[in-house]
Amino acid sequence: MDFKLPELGEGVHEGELVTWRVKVGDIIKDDQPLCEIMTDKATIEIPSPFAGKVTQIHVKEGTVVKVGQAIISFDNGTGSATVTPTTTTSVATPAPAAPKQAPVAANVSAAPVPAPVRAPLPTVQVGGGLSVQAAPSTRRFAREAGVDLQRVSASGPGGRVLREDVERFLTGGGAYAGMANIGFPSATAHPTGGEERVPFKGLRKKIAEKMRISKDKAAHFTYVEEADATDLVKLRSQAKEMGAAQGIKVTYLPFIMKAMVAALKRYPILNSTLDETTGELVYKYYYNIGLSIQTDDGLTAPVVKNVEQKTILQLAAEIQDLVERARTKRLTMEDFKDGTITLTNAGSIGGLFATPIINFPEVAILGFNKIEKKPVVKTIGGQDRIVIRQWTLFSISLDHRIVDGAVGAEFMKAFIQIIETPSLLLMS
Amino acid sequence: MSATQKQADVVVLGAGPAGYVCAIRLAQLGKKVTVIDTAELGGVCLNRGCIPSKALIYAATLFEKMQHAETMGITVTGAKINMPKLIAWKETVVKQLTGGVGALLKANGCEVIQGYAKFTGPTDLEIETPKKEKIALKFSQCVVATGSRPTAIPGFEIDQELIMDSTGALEQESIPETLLCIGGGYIGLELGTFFAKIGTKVTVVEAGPQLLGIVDPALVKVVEKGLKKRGVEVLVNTKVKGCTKKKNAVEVSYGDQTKTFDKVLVTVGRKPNTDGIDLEKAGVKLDTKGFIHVDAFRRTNIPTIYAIGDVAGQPLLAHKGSKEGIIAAEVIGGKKSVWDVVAIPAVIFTDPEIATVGLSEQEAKEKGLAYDVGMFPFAANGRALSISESDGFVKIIADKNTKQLLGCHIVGPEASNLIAEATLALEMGASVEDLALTVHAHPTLPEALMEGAEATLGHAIHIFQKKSKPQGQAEATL
Repeated sequence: MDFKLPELGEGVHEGELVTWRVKVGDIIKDDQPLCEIMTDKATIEIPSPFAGKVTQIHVKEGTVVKVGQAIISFDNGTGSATVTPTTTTSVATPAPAAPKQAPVAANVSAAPVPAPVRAPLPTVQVGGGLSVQAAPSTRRFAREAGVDLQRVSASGPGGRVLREDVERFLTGGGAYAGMANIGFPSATAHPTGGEERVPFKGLRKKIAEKMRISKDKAAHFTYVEEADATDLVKLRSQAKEMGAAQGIKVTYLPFIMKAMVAALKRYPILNSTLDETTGELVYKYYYNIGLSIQTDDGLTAPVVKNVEQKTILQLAAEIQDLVERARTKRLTMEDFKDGTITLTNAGSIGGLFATPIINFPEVAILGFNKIEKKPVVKTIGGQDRIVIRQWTLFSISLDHRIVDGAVGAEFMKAFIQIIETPSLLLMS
Repeated sequence: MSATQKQADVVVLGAGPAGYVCAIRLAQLGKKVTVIDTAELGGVCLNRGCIPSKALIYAATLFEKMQHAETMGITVTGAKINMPKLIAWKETVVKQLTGGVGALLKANGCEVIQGYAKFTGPTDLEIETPKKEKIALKFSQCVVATGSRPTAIPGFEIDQELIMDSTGALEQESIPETLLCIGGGYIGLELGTFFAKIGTKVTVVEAGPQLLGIVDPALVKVVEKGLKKRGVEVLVNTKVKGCTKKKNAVEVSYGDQTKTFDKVLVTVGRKPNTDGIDLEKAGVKLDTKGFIHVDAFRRTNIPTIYAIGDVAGQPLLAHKGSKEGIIAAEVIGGKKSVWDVVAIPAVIFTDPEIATVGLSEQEAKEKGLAYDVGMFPFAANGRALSISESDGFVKIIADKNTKQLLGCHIVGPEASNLIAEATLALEMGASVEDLALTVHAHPTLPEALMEGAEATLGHAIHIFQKKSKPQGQAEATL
């Protein structure tokens, strides 16, 4: 009887088999750990769903195995059927990080009938008390908005995520915040697998056309640099309080936009377009920054105009308004006009960094990724020390027809200097 | 005989607290629902479990209180139990509730079919009605909520006369003089306490080392005291060996003795009703204990089939099943619903009652957590004293560092009602400070929870707590 690697978690399709806990000839009990699988998220202990004798091990330690791949065979006296994994996997390390958010199950339509192989996922820890990080109503709100609570920074006591935190995440996060529908069974659970045809139209089609044009015309390259955002985090949290007093949600975006303008003034080529009909480069000395916002229908990028003339709070209020109107489908054509460069925020979901696609005919798009604490070596008083800093990566995609790598790199250097020392904004 | 062909949108198999709740929510979400059950609506809970047993226990407690009212200056003479009348009253309670379930299902437009259903495929059921008619029912989705039944032990054949299970215990028309309860779990102790209160001499034998399994031993001790007070003999680490049925009595050998009892009550556990409905024909996988394996959406391995309640695994509690029913219904209805429950309370209607939620001290220890414990006795609670029920205490487990509430364990008066506050606190991720800082009305039993929370922080008002060492001193040099 073959045992196949069960589902390991959301978006995890494979893992490295680190250690076998059993060997050929072992008599194993129900629920006994079989092996450890290391995924990019955690090391998971795979328990045996059956009792029996191990007859064969198919995978060597250190190899990468895919979900659904047969890894071990055993004899439980019932002949040679394939075992559908019926056990839950339990997260072995890191220990306290038991699944906080509801696990997301495999795709229904992928399961063949009548013998589908779809293993259940780690069950939510029950009775733990430890896994709580939000009130039930907040958890539902986040779930329905498609927000992973683990990605939301908590402002409640003891690290509790409040409804306001989720709202802030939704409005301030910009792009990708609404990861709607991921993993949740669809409304009409497809009875017997198969496929479905949905018209490709509207915003979705528009996005497809624009992305294709950009990739056809621009010669994309992406450059990534890291930045110490500790001072920015501090400054933003002060501004957040100030803004809150006026009902304005202050995110990182206004600061990043301001830093972009300062750096663009030094490297104006990034704020240009190529007029192919006249064969001229058009330099723009106004700074209209498009902001990618994920909506239920798809990606959209309204423009914050004349960033150079506005204060942080003005920008914050304007962004808040744009995001709100984008989500409620109240943006007008005016909102999309005259962009000179675009900013996209991939960090609200996760990932190291994105390689964004340029909003053509602009020549640059800046990607803002997640900020998280990292151990960093700093020289303090002539000695190397490991300190904890708020760390982030910025990526920029450029049209190499117009901007050379070295210029892009110099721009990023100037930009990140301001991110790392945001007080420099006062100088500009 | 050829079967009648029928089509259904969503079928709910079983009308217990999981199934009927699921059916109503499905209907609320606009689904066309067909409910199938073999017998009465309401399942074991309403008909042969939670509700009738609590009715009987309430009556027995009232009877017992009358006999002890003398200390309060109330003389009661001639109080006696009329068993047929008590059973009939219990039936009216049950009928009222099951009738209500029927009316609700009807009002929500659910079709109810009485019959025994078996799977013939992943989208097909065959139902046999009491009139032996066959219906072939094709469904888009099916929610299995067929519940569980008492486990028997070999050699103790249930006849519901001399040897009964929980079902039979609720139908006795006379008061047995002697009763042997096999199994010291919550059902055995609840029913055993009922019989002890109405005058039966009860003996409880438990194979394990402690009554009530994994409940905190400190809580069990209080209940044991209550049993002893009522003349109940408790034998742990004792196995029954066999029995001989006599005329109007049963001779049972257990441990190293043999005794004769009027009646024997077998409550050694329950098993899921997953056999006999041909789940294998639909391809639904079971685990080694016969429970249906489900994911966080309560989906089985078959995309068209969901499972909720006792068939979907531990804990076998009505409220867990109802919650699952709502989740499965919402998932089927296209809502983003998922099992994300933090804590499921468990209540035991012994005397005094036990109620627990969240982590026990033992579990906190096993998880290697740094935790604090706060205890508050009901003897220091004004309300408990004034209703003459001061046995028991509240025990609170909190995270040592964050002070987050991890668990609450109550043995004492109204424990079953008191646990709701702690459950909400756990679900909200509250700290014990939240409990302690909330004003609780005086004089009430929930004050004991507030004081228990205060005790966890080291400063309950109504018990004296020695000052512990100043906080942080020991950990200061990290």
